[in-house]
Amino acid sequence: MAVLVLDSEAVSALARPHESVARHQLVRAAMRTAHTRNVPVRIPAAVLVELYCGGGTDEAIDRLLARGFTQVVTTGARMARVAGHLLAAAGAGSELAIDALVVATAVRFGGGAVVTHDPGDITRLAAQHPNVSVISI
Amino acid sequence: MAVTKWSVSVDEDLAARVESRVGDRGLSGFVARAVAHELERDLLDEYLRELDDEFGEVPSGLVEHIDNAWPS
Repeated sequence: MAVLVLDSEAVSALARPHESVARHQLVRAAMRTAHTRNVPVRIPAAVLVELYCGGGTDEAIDRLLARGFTQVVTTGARMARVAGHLLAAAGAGSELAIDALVVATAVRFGGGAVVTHDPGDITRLAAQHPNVSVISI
Repeated sequence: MAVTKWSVSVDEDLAARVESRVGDRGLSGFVARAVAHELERDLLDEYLRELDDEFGEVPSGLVEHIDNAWPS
């Protein structure tokens, strides 16, 4: 089984479509390919750390998650271990912890594609995993 | 976790293939996973169609371009 993993910018683009029309369209295109491939869409819980800012911004994210077309993947010990090993292999520090959890989500579910606004770091973290690719938005 | 018992009708041949694959004991889990997957997929399609109606369809060339980015 493979997955389509959304990073925080991808989720943000969906929740706030008018902020970046081009990015919104790219995320929609990526989700259309996931649907055609019969691949589920997953959002790592760690990504939500970057999205829940309070002050009335949370509702758009909550509405999106409530649609039921995706599931939030929590970070358990196994996921944390995969992410930690990705950081170590890339020689990266904890500043890339959330990116590592994004890549780890794809790795744990058997590979797939990561939709991201930060293709450089994601590509670097996924370097040892040819079954994980990057869709840049 | 609270559970609901369903009585559903399934084509005999399909039922036999599923039973030989997962056995009696694994049946509920297998069906639950399949139904959850199908429900999520259906909701994804519904969401994407709503976005198509609101913002216009995504150009097919762009979808094709993105599809090429998946691992081979």
